[in-house]
Amino acid sequence: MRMTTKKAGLVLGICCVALFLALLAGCGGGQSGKTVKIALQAPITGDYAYEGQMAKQSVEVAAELINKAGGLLGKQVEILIVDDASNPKDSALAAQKAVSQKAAAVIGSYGSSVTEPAADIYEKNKIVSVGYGCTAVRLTMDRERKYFFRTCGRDDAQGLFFGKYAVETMGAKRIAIMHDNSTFAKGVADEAMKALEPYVAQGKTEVVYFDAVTPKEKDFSAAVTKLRETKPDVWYFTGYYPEAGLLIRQARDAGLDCPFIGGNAAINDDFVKIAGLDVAAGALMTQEPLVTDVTTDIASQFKALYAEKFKELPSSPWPVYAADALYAIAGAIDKAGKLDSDAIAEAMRGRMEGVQGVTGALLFTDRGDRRDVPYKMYKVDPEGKLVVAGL
Amino acid sequence: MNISSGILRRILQAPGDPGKGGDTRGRRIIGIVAAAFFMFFPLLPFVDNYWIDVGFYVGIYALLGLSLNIVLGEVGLFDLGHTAFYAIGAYVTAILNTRFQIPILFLLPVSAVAAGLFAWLVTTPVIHLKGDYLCIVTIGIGEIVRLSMINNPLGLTGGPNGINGIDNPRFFVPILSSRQFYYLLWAIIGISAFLLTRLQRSRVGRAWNYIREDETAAKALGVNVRHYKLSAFVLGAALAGVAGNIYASKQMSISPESFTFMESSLLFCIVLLGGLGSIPGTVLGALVVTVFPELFRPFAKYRLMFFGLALLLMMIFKPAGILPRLRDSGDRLRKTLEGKKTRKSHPESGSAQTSAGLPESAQANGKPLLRLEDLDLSFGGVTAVSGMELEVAKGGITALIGPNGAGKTTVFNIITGIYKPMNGRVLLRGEDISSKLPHQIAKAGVARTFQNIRIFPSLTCLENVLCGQHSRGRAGLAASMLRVPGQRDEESRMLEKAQACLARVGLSDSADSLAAALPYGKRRYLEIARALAAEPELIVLDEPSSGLNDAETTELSVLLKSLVEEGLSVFLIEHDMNLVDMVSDHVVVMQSGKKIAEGPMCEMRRNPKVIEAYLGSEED
Amino acid sequence: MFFDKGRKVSTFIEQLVNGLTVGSFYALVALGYSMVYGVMKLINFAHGDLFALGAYLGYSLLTGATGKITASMGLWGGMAFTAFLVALSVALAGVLVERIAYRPVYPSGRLSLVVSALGMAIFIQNAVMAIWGSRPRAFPASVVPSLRFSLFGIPVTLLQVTILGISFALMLAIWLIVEKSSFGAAVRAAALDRETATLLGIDVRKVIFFVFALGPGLGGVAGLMNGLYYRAISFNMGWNYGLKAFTATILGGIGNIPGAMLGGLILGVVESLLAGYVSGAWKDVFVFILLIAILIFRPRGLLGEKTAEKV
Repeated sequence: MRMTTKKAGLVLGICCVALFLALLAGCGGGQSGKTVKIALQAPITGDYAYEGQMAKQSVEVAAELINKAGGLLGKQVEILIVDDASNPKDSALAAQKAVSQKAAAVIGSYGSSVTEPAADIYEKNKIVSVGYGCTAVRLTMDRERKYFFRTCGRDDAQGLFFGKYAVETMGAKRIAIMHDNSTFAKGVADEAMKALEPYVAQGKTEVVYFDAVTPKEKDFSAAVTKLRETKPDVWYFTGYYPEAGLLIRQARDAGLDCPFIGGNAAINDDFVKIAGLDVAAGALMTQEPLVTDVTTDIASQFKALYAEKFKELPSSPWPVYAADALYAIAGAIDKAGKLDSDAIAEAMRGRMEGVQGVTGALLFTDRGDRRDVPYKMYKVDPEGKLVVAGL
Repeated sequence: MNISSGILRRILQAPGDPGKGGDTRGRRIIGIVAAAFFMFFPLLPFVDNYWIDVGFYVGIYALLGLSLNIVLGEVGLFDLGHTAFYAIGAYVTAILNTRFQIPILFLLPVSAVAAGLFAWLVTTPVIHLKGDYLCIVTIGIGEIVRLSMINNPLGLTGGPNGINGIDNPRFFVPILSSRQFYYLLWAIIGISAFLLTRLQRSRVGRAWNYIREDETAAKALGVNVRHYKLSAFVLGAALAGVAGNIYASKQMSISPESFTFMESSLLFCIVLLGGLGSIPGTVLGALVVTVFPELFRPFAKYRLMFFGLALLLMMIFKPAGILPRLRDSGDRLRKTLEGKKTRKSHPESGSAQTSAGLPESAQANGKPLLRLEDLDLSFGGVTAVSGMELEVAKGGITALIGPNGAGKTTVFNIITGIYKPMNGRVLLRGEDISSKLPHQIAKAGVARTFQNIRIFPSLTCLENVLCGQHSRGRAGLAASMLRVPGQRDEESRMLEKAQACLARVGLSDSADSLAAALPYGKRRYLEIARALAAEPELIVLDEPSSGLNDAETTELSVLLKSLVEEGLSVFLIEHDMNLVDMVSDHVVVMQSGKKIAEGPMCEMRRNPKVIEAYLGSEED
Repeated sequence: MFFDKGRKVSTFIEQLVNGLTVGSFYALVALGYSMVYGVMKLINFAHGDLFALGAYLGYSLLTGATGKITASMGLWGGMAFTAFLVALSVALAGVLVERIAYRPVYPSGRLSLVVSALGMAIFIQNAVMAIWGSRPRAFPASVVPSLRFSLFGIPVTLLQVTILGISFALMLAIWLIVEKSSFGAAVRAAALDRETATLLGIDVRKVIFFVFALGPGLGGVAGLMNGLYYRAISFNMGWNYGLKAFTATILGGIGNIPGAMLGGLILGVVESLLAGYVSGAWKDVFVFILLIAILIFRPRGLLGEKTAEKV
């Protein structure tokens, strides 16, 4: 009896202490004098965990480079990681955490529908946030957000590029568009469709297939058989590389031989591995300049340090945009000369001349989109490397 | 120290203590402490907006947990697609708000109604499915809703992007800050928990529990199972719709990613972690499930692994949940009925209702009370009953005997509506009841017990017996939540009757014990008390003496005779020929689904057909 | 309307074959569900993740030892040996899952078991992620036999034919074991009524051991074959296959072995035809609507027998 009483008391005590510690853990911080805190909101866990992990590594590499070069406003940059698990609810919490920990600015996040609630919270709290993988048009065009920017291109730019390339360069008469019902893939697919409308109206081409496959599935043979029967000249898949790799191989097995064009999340080293080199070689991809092609100083420093630390380069373009988001924020803070959000946002819009990131100049429109994101058609060469195909 | 640990001990005490239903005082103290904590949490000095928001999401999951608890906890239906209703609430709010600028708080009831209506529409055709089949259907509904949102039907849902630009609510002032949202939500949770607690202590809440504990027994004792299952789904969905409304306005944007199967599983875990049917448990479960992963975020990669492990360990070491539901004692139930104004004077409505469906005038008028005509029933080619005819006289004891497999229990199941005969009629007071549902037959005045005892093990004996009274009351959801005067009178009448029935079989002392704690012999008596509480005209007993010792059997015969003296008619299946001899006025003998003889017991003993039927099996 | 030309007919047959391939994977996973369910009345949610575990173990065996297994035993011999090892280790995992996660929870009722099973599923999935990483892994082309040919005008691969063959052989073997052998009789008896089976002298613990070894072992091999066939595996692949296989199990009538096979194959074919002729985006919506419709009219699945309520 005595024992149980004691034990129960002990349990209660431990619970109280644990709760207290938990609460304390949440309120660490404030912008201390020695460092500039920049938060990275990324999917460290969840379905896109690999993207989040790479984003974290990239941003840490960029921060190290900035700190080596003297830091920001004479202080060191400190990166604060908040995890949104690529889930809108966790995103809102992650954003609130970044706000509570008084981040000077935020890099984030990866998915568009995940970024949306976070951007609303940053907007409310007047903190600059720079997205790195969220390409949905409406993030900047639906509503004006004063503090939201992004270093990645927009779905419509990519869609437009695809439409023009497919019709004008490749002369495709029958075009198939396939997505995977995710925010990103559907966005690009819809925009590509829109971009093709004028050509269709002129009778130059037609869209013979527009449908989705289910992500995380393995067998797309039914979809590719249906696709084959539409006899497309070009097949554009806007989803992610795991499905892309499976799709192209199953399509080739089913006897569909038309050129495959992937969106900018469809092709990377893993795509080549999954599809097999024999099948992957020759696949095309609409893509902003890849880190491997950029030869600026920053790019080579970045690549060198990244390779040194992690033994490889990021396998997708997005982590590099996360690093660029940090460069953009650093540049803007530098130009503004202070950590005031209004000043940073103002600098981001108008005074970014000369600010360079891994992928080149970092200039933003009034709406917060990155200016002049060039798209190129990449091609998987016979060794499995991505090389520029033209334009 | 001693006080707090004492409370803690009370709270954590093992579920289903074989003793009393549980100590509610410790619970009430912790309830007050918890309420105070949630009330003042955002005002604590070291709590920043992040932790307030964590508190907000604890609230969302608590509300969703409470809503699922109605379906899963109270009725025991495997619902693994509950987020569908949450999604409907969120999308209705988002669409109506962004398209027509209807204020959010006005949409709160609209979302609830929409989600409830949706639940009614989709569950009505499938509500008859059992356990796992219903489970896959709910999973299917969840997936259908999520995928439909993604596919953007009619351009309404915004596809995978979802809908953005949802307003904040206004409650005199605009509700904007984390703190305001927190209080708005927790106020709603408080109100919901209050109303749900009232439901738990009402005819409706008990009916849900009866279904969870034993659907067949509930049905046979007068609970309209279909109706109560549907009402649980509708109410649960409506509450989830409310959660969806608040979630949408807090997030300001919604997308299908929030409404995955994973979320549904999480809700399932919340209810089970907290304790099935336990309101404080569900809130605590939500707290654990939300805060636990937040605390483990630094371990990113291993976070969910720990979570899975924690669920597992929890189920191994505390399977009834953290705060299992404590059953209310009879005193507690009575106290809750004593409001500020006790209106004792409703005699006229009272008696009128009690005898509903029971023609009191029906004195022994020569006509049989129950008459079976030419009943046929076979299962997949195997004939169970064929051409069965018999009569049960009013005011006597009729026994149905016959060797094992003769079809006796099947006859009972046909009488009580569990099976539908393929042919023939069942006439009760001259009226054909063979097409009626079990609960209608119970209401018409036939109550039964079961061969394999079917009590409601995790309810108290009093609650078990209250089941019989179910068909004699009529208070519904609204009346029970609002506790209107009529409902209170009805409840206290039911309580009185149930206690009288318990006393009748000598179980008054065990009123507040869980039925599972009763010894075997007493369980039979509990079943009889439950049947008596249904105020039947005919009581149908399936092998009441099986498992009783000689003394108990003699006791039983006394009880049966006294019931008849009070005007009840008894129809029983019995193997104990001594008992049959002692009590029965008339005996019907069955073999291979047919009646082979009938008459007084002494004649039956000499009847060659009967002897032949029993040949080989000991005829006592 | 699809039959107006020979071409359309052959496409239709091709879609059927596609569906059968997907369906045979569903069926193999569904068998494990159904066997466990039959005896334990438990939905083993961890089953799909054991399937994924099998795929990863196979991946490590085939690539980790730098191809030693296939190098020393030949491609097919190595493959068979790997499959054997995978089956053995996943069977062991299955038995462990039962010991750790289910046996202590049986007395607490079915709802607790569901949560325990969900917890186990989450645990295995994330343990796989912690060990092998969150990025999908690809089986190197060198370990996958690849030969494409045309069978009656339908393009197929050697692997496709082999896997279909093995799946059907495995299903047949399981069916024979359960329906014809004396041990199978014990399993069926235990499924029908555990108490009576015990009274009849059947060692129910042995039966439980058997189903938890055989079901997951089979699932593990299915995982390996799945990895080889599609080449890519991901840590969360079990969830999707688990859900679909569970759907297949219910469709066929849960606890019914031929029902699970039939359910899997039908589900695969229906999916394939929906994706091929209706809409890929709405495919799963229609699949579930169809499932619900079937259950409305056959509440115990296609092959589930209507049993009288035991009162």
